[in-house]
This record gives sequence, structure tokens and C-alpha cells, in this order.
Amino acid sequence: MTGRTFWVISFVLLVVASHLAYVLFGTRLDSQTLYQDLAAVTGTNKLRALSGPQARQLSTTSDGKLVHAVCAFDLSQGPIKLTAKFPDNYWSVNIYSLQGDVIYTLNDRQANIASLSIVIRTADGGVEENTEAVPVPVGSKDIQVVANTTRGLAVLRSSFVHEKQRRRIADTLNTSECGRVKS
Amino acid sequence: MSKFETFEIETAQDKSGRPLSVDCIYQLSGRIPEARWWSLASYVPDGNAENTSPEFSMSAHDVIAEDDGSVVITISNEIRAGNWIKPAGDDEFTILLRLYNPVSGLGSAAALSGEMPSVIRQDCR
Repeated sequence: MTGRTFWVISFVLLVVASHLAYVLFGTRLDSQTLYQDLAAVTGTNKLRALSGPQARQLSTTSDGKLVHAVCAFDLSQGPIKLTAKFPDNYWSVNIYSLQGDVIYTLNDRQANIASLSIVIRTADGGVEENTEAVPVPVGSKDIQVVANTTRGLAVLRSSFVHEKQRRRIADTLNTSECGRVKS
Repeated sequence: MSKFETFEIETAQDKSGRPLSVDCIYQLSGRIPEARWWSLASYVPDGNAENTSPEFSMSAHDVIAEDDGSVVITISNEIRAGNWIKPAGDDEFTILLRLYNPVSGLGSAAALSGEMPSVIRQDCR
């Protein structure tokens, strides 16, 4: 790269990068440890906006231009529903398995709406044997995501323009839902 | 949808391979690789400091692009008109570009590096 800026490229946030020619520095995380650490802070099946130090667990440096919120979900008792509202800025939701695979990703431009409603379940409905299955309502307009894992992370991001908006977004995300689908 | 939903791209050198120094003025210019959203920030080399002060970063929201869609951003300790960020720390620093939901597959890091804007040193005190 003679005469060209030498940019070091890395892939973050639980991404599997095995097919790349090189990763010059890795920020790959132990997703199992990350799940445990975040669940200890936020609880399971609860959506919580992260503080700066907490958000740094997702990346070596926190992006000061984004609000991050996480739901450490557990589908062992049935599917969960994730809902959130965003301002008219960039937002994204990314759902990961415990192995670090990206199960689902969506951003505001793809969704073309400022709100989110996703049901996450396993292929068998997400229930353990001998427990009663909780069906997804017929005619549901929720996005259905089938996870190949009982546990994982849903990571939401929203950009903000000024500090007051950042606080408002964090407050809104903290009152958003990530819990068992109600029967 | 791309399986790789976030890229972090970092440089600690200018176009000529010299370490980035807070004593110098730089111009970052060129096209940001296409993504749904991006942010650019300066950090001290260990990269662990939480850098949330607005003068150290810029995003797709803030930048004023050129007519051809490229960007020109000045990096200097003194505030400058137009797109401007301050270098972090008091010695050498790095610049970190984050791309969220990049449009192209960006499956080749080598191909991506060819798309990156240049960082050119203009003057030093």
C-alpha cells in the first residue's frame, strides 16, 4: 500500500470473520461471556439502554454518536417479543446467537418505519419439553425471527443529534418491551 | 442483508505513512464507503478511552458533503470552519471509522482498503 493510507480493518460485534483474507486486529468477543456479563447487568428478557462503559463490552471503543440497548434473551420458556420506537434517525436491530452468528439484522431504511416489533422464537416454538407452548397470535404483523439458539443477544442502536435527544432515546428504550409473548 | 453488520476501520498514519500527531493539521478527504450510517472519531492509541465529546467525532448526520458525495474533514487542535474534528490526546492519535450496515458485501478487506479516504498532512507546528 505504498503512498496510501494504511487502514486497519476489523470486524466487531460477534461477527464471524473466518472467510476474510485477513483481520489486522481482532475485536472478536466471547459471546457466551458477553451474554453472561450483560444478563448480570440487565437481567434476561429485558431491554435496557447501556451506559458508555457497558456499551464498550460490545466494542473496544464506544461510539459516542449512538445509543445502545441490549436484550439478553432466553427462549427456554417460549418466544419473546421485542418492541421499540425510534426517532427519525438511523437505527438498527441485530440479533445474535450465543455462538456469535448474526441471526437477523434490520435498519431504519430497510424497515421504512420508526418502530419495531419482532417475535423471536426457536424452530420448535422455543419451549422446553413438557411445558405449554405459547402460540404467536394469528394474523400477527410482527416480524418473525426463528433463532437456532435458545439464548442470544438483541442489540439495538439509535443515532442522536444532540444530548437531550440521546437521553430521550435511552429513556424510551428502557421502557420498551423485550419479554415473553403474552398468551 | 450483509452478515457483517458493522465494520471498524482504523488508521494511525497519514498517507505518507507518518504517525498522526496532535501537533499537525490533517485533511481527510474522499468517499466514505457506502453504508447505512457511519461515524468517524479520533482516539488515543490504546483506544479504550470513552470518547463521547462531540468535538472528537463526526457522523453521517453532521457532515456536509461535497457535490460529488465525497467528504473533506479537517483534523486539528484549533477549530476550523466546515467539517472539523479535534485529535484526541496530547501526542499521537488514531482515527476510527465505523460503518454500520455497509451496502457492499465488503467481503474483501483488501478491496475495502482501496475505497478509504486519504489522510493528508498539511502543516505542523
